[in-house]
Amino acid sequence: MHEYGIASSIVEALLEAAKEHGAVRVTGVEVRVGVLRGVVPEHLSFFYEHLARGTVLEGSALNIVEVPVDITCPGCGTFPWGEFTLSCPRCGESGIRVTGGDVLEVSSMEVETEG
Amino acid sequence: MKVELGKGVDESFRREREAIRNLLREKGVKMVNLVSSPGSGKTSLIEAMASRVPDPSIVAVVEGDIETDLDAKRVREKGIRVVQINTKSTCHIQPGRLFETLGGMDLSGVRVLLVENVGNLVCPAEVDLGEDLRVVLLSVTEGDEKPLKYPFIFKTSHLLVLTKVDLLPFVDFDEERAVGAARALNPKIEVFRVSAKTGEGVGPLTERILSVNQRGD
Repeated sequence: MHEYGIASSIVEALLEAAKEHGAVRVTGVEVRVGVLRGVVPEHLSFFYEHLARGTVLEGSALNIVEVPVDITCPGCGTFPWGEFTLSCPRCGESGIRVTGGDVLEVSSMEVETEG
Repeated sequence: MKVELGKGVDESFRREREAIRNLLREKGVKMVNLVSSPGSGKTSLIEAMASRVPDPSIVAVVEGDIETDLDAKRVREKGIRVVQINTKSTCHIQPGRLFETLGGMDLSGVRVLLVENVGNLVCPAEVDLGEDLRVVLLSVTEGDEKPLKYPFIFKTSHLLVLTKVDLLPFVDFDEERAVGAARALNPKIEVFRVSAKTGEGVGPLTERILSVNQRGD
């Protein structure tokens, strides 16, 4: 249940950014989460909603974009894949490399400002 | 109005992390973050390494546990300076808490600080304490699929230490599978095999840890 900590870091980052941009209300938020981070989107949304209450973030729509890993296989080349595997999901080859899929960032927010 | 942020969430502890790094740099101390599941043998490894350190005063330990100071007592018996952090409901050591702890510690003469994180393969991986070296332990009794199930902690570690290797004849642990998965994610990961019980491999690992370089970036 590490989503609570992640949700509070997201909220903290957003509140700081909202203040910086003079936002009176944040209506939408996009976060990018790599599949290696083991985040359950439903849990993250639940905690986000809870923590957003009573702040400028209250009621904002949280869009969680899952970012795949890139699998590099000697035979099949490089392609995105939705989860970490030990062998190439296309040909079964085991000597693969797995990159990416580790991002965790608040990519953008939709804000309303005064006036 | 849309505002582009591109803000890494791990950045939220940046201030605390920098405070830790400045404090340690000032005192010439390098930090090693030991992470693993509960019961993989972090404390036993520290005990085993303690008897191989040329001078116990060059090492200090911070023990992280939800409850109790049992681990700190074990380490203290080896003549190593140690402070216990009880995180209560938190599943990892928070940078702010570590900074406070370090502020109250006598680090004179210390070259390497070992931080034994709370046993957990998820949360400690997400929190960069500002360490110079991250070491993940995997005991052979836990099973070889751990890097597949918990990839992030293996991806972010510099060293993979297979522990309890004296038990290999009694368990179905496919070393190649475990190490292969870790290397698929993290080709540079250095692999060590140790048994705190028999002492196998503890010497080379101790040397590696004591020769830790300051992290660049």
